[in-house]
Amino acid sequence: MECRRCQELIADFAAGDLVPIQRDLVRQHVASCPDCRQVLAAERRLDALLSQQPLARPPADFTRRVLGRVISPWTVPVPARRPWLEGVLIAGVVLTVLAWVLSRAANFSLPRPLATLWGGLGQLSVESFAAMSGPLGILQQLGQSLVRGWALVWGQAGQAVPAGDWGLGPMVLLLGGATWMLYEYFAGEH
Amino acid sequence: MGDERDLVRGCLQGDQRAFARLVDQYKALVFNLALRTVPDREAAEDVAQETFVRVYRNLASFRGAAKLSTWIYQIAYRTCLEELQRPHHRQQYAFLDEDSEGVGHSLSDPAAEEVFAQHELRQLLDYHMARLPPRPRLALTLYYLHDRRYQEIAQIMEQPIGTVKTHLHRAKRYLRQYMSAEGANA
Repeated sequence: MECRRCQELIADFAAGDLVPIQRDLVRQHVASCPDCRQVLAAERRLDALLSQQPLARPPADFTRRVLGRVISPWTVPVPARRPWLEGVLIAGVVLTVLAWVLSRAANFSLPRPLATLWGGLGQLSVESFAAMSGPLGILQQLGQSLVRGWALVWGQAGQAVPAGDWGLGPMVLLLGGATWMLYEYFAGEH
Repeated sequence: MGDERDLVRGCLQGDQRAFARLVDQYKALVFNLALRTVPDREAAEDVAQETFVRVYRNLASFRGAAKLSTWIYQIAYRTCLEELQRPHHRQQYAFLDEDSEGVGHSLSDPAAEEVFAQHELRQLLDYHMARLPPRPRLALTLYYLHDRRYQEIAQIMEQPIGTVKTHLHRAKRYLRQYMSAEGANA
């Protein structure tokens, strides 16, 4: 065995990672070659030094600081897909597209109860997802949001509301809600 | 492995104590990996914290195909490399020559051992390790400080075992050469 080949194998030899045939060849060569013996000794010395490098201790409050960064309503890990969230997401996107299409129609007016519901949904998309407390939380928000939605589209009951009056606000709100849900969904998956 | 699954399940169910246990279990390893990668302690702490934030956010995607420690190391490794991409961390690394001749070996030289007390040798080693390019340095750190085997390091670095070995061999050859040179000058 040549010195060059021996020295290529010396790190693995020192680590005990050679197959028996190679190990015997290196051992025989090292026994008869002072230079390679010295390289092997240097390798073992370096191994020992590297292995004895002391481990530093992390700061005492490290865990608390990590927990402070992750434990918040915004970063709760997603354990699995949430089917209800997908349903709401699809509904949000569909309703948003509908609002946009209808608001383009010049002569279209929405009956007062539907306009109220629409305004409520807009509120809901923001408030309930801020809470992120699950389906029950959303139902709880729904009542309040409908009342606020009523105020959003003032007027007398039974009157029709022109599309331009209600189309834009809810559309923006719903788009915001839908974007948020998409973020939550994909952030949880990867 | 069962303990790991319980820990992960606890975290996913929102059990803060489970996540605190997970951080406690791996913080020393992650922190030391970061410390060997970025130049100062404060930056290393930031990298280690960021690693655990990512672990937390991605726990749902942990399928248990690899060991939890390997998976956490993978995230730590990527976070370290990303940190080194930042402009203020850019530095000139040592060039690890592929075919350099004349491997230095003064570490085994009794005269050099007299010149350097053990702690001085360690300081010298730290200095030269810090000059290694990131990947060989991380491979060396994982192999020696964290006692990982080639197979696991290859998984962590997402590189073939042969490449990991090459990183290690070149890094060690560089350390032997330059520590030898320092020894001669001392």
